[in-house]
Amino acid sequence: MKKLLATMLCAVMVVASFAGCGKAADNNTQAPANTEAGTSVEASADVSGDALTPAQQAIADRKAKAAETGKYEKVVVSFFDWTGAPAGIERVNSKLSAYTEETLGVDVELLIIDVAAYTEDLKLMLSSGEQVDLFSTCGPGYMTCVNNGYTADLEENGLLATYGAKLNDVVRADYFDACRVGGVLYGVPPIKDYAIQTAAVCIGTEYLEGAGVDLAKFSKDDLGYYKCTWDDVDEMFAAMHAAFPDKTVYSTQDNMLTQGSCVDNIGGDYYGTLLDPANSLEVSNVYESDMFKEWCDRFYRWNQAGYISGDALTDTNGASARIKSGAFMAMMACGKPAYENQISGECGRPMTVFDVGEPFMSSSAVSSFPWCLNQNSEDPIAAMQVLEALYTDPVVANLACWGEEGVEYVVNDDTTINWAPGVDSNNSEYYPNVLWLMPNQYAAHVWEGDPVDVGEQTAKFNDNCPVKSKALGFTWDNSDYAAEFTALQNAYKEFSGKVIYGFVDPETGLKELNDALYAAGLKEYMAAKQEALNAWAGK
Amino acid sequence: MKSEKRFQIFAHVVLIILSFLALMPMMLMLMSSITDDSTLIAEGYSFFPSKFSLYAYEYIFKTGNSVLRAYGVSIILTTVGTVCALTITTLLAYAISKKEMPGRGILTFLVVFSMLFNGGLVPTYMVYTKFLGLNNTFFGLLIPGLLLNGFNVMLMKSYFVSSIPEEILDAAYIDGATETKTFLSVVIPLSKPILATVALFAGIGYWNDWMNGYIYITKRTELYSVQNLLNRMMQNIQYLSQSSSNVQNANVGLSAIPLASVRMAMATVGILPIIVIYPFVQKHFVKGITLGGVKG
Amino acid sequence: MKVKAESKKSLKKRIIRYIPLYVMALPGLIYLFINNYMPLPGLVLAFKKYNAKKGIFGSNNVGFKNFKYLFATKDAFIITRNTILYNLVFIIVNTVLAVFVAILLAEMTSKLKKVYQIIILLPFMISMVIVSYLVFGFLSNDNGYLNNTVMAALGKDPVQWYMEKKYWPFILTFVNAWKVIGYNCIIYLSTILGIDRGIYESASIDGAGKWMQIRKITIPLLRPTVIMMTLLAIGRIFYSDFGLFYQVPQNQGALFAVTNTIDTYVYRGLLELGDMSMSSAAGLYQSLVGFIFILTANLIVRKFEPESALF
Repeated sequence: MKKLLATMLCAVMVVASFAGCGKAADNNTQAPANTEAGTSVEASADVSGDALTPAQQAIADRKAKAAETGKYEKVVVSFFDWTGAPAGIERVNSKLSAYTEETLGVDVELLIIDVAAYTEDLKLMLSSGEQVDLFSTCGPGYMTCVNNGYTADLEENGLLATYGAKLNDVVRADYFDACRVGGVLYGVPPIKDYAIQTAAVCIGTEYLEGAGVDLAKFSKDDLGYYKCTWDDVDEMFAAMHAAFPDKTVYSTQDNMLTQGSCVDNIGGDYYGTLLDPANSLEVSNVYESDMFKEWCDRFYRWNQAGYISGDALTDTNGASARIKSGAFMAMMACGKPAYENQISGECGRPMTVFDVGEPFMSSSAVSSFPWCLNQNSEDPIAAMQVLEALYTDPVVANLACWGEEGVEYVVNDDTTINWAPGVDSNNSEYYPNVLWLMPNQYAAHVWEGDPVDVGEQTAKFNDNCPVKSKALGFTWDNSDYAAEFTALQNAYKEFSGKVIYGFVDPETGLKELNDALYAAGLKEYMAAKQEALNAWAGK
Repeated sequence: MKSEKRFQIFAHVVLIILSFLALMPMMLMLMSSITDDSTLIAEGYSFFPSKFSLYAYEYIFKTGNSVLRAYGVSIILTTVGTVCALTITTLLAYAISKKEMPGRGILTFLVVFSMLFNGGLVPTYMVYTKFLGLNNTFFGLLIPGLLLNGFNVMLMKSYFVSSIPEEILDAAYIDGATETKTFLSVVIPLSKPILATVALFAGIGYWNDWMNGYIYITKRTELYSVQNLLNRMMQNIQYLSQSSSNVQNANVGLSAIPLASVRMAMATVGILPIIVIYPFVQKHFVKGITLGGVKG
Repeated sequence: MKVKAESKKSLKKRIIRYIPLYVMALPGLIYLFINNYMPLPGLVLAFKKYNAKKGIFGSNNVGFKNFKYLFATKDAFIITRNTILYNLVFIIVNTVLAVFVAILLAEMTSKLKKVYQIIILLPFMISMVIVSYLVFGFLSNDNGYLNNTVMAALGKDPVQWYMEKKYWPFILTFVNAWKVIGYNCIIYLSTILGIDRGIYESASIDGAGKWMQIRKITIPLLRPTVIMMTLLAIGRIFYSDFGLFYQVPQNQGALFAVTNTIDTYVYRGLLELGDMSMSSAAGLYQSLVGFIFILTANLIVRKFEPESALF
């Protein structure tokens, strides 16, 4: 009894301390709303006077405050990189702040965390009230952030329209709409390639030559890659296998659906998909489809022919890293403008890209990792203005993407850039190497070797994509089906590997997989998805 | 004494086998760390690789943050942490080892209970950052989770109960020694084995910890400890290679890192100092306790 | 009345006598309060649908909904069975081996014993991720040491280790023992070293041989420590070493029937859901079961051997 009492006493004390904390957090969330209302009233009063726009007014206010206190307000922007906080982060931050103090009346701090720690750290910071104003949802995932209530409504009280108006110049309205959840806009998509050229088979050029493959018979597609069929690929693989018997032909990864097909994983997972996303909103099980069966048959054939490593199931090395090692010859990815350069760099040898699939833009392509504003941010207006600058101001974008001119990089005559003398990717003090998640990589310089107009090329690639999912913009909260989802994840992981890499006959392997998925609740899960999709389409 | 001799031989045989089992994988680790990365991927792990390379070590020591400084952080952290942890643990363990002390049951229960339940990462993080402001400080590495471990407390308490005869303590009390004096001059000298053990466990705990650095150090990279630094590299590689199908561009990051050998090199870099330093530390440590006991 | 008064007095006296001890306990207790008890109210998260805007305590109550996924499917039986069985096997195997090795080390006269001690502790120092690579180095289908060298030398066909679940209960038990024995052994060793050598000497004079001394003196005196270690292990019986069950089998689907535990199951689901309430629920469930088990076991111990009970 005594023990119980003691424990309870402790608990009560702690609850008290926690309640205090919760309240403090509440105050924080209310405060910005007030200031915002205040400034907009002020701003509208000003319009008749010296005609400062509300945005300019907010900047002027912050500058005035800084003059008074001697300290600029700070906006913290967080995203991940591959190696953790870069050595030169403080220098870059001070350069950045020196500029934004002038233009926006704020200091900007880039808080860069390594990829593996980012999800956990961001979650902790967002839920404990640590200062993070803007963050990339690449890592934790957009829907997770929305579901946990981390994200602010960007259009509340006209926030975006008033203080981030220039965003509308760089992000198309339908891409904004693709990020709406339940009609509310919580994020701005990074500007990048949303469409993909599915099933780009990449083969080491030296192996093609060694096997005597005649490339002249293939025509080229719009992106400049060789157009061919799976039969052609089979033929090439056979020739390569014969010419290089001690090398493994194909470097596997579980990407035949994500990068090799036009199946739309609506709602962010493949348990219930759109098989014909351009024309139909019917949710079906992709693992029972003919298309998936075809993939599995192909891999079974390849595995039987010895094109696939016996360790494919357990090897955790990346597909391109294996090719770089020289033991593997080919892999599959998805193409986009200037991809051949990229993949050749990754594989450490010239690669030839074959286009076997078709272009496709899935429903979640745009909304997979937008930039969000913390609901707990003390000054959402300042945060929004910084976000706008990240998308539109080349000085800000260059500092965030590439670091300091003259230290990290030098500008060539044609405006492309390259390493500063003596600097490379290993010793650079600022090289996040995550352009594709940055708000707008095309506002910054282009790296030497890439076309100067890669931004326009990409925009055209997106616009011209013929197969766009009808469900573009559909987002789904699966938290009510967490039990099914967890069971499905486990079932998929248990039975998928051997059939997708062709270690078992697809006939039996697929049946086993589907039985397990249905036992885990696939039917209920798909029904719920279909219902949500119908409701969304109805609106 | 024939049986004695037979026993000694038997003991050596068993321990040699065990040592072999423990060392063989270590050797594999060491050899893999100096194997050329491409060879490793192409031919697998081997005791006799066909091509050697020190590139993995070059990568670890040259990239980004300084491993040497991280060693410094680790050594200071482990020393300070071990001393603090040992002190607090011993004091608490001794208190709850006293059968007659009123409230002993409650205190023991509080210790055991703390081993079973935890409030979860987020609430713990809030306590340490919002109330105590330990994030991005050295204390963020030192204090959360590691300073006192219920398991070590129970271990020590059990030793005090079973190995320190009550008669000695009672005799000291009757002689007029205070509890404090008894503790310092009688209990501590008799407890060398357990003090050394708990110090070792606490030391291992601090040396191997990377979680605190992972969570509480987001900005000040100069506070990375060796294990934190290595684990970050390792987890980044792990993340990249496992999610390369989800994150389209993960391969961009991967291509920069020697994958297979570098993990082994990291593990070697992480434990080598212990193998080298441990015997010396242990020797002086035991001496230190003996001295302390005599002084008290 | 008189008796009560006296016991009160003696209680007061005892408290006064032990005041220095309370002071000694204080730093540890304060630390426990901050580190373990202050975050404890966060457990209510298990019954909430977390929303950052509302905070932990303001989030909506959802009752036991967050626990549902742990029980909803047929997997619940397998993961619970695996978790408990492995823990039981580990407790037995590790205790027997560690006590055995500790006795050998303690009785050894050679100076080499310090060397042995360090060597067998080494595996404990490397992380499970590295262990998983080492295991893979031995078991890999194409390049593994076993398939390439050992099986070939024995003239046997290579085994697809990562596809055959029948081997894995043994592999995991072996790997676990390999990793933790050095650590556990040190615990028992320190207890043996704390035994008064005089007891052995008098036994030796009485003509007791080595085996006899071990059986009659060492093992009985180790009992309390063994019981305590076992009780504490029972408290964690619903937990599993995530690295051992996830990394070491390389997260291999074909092996799930014998490698899926509560922790790995939860991880696979929550990795993408990122739901804090649900992970909180899983933790609470594991703790509660452990708590009930440890209380029960402690009661039983208290009945038969009150000296060794935890509290």
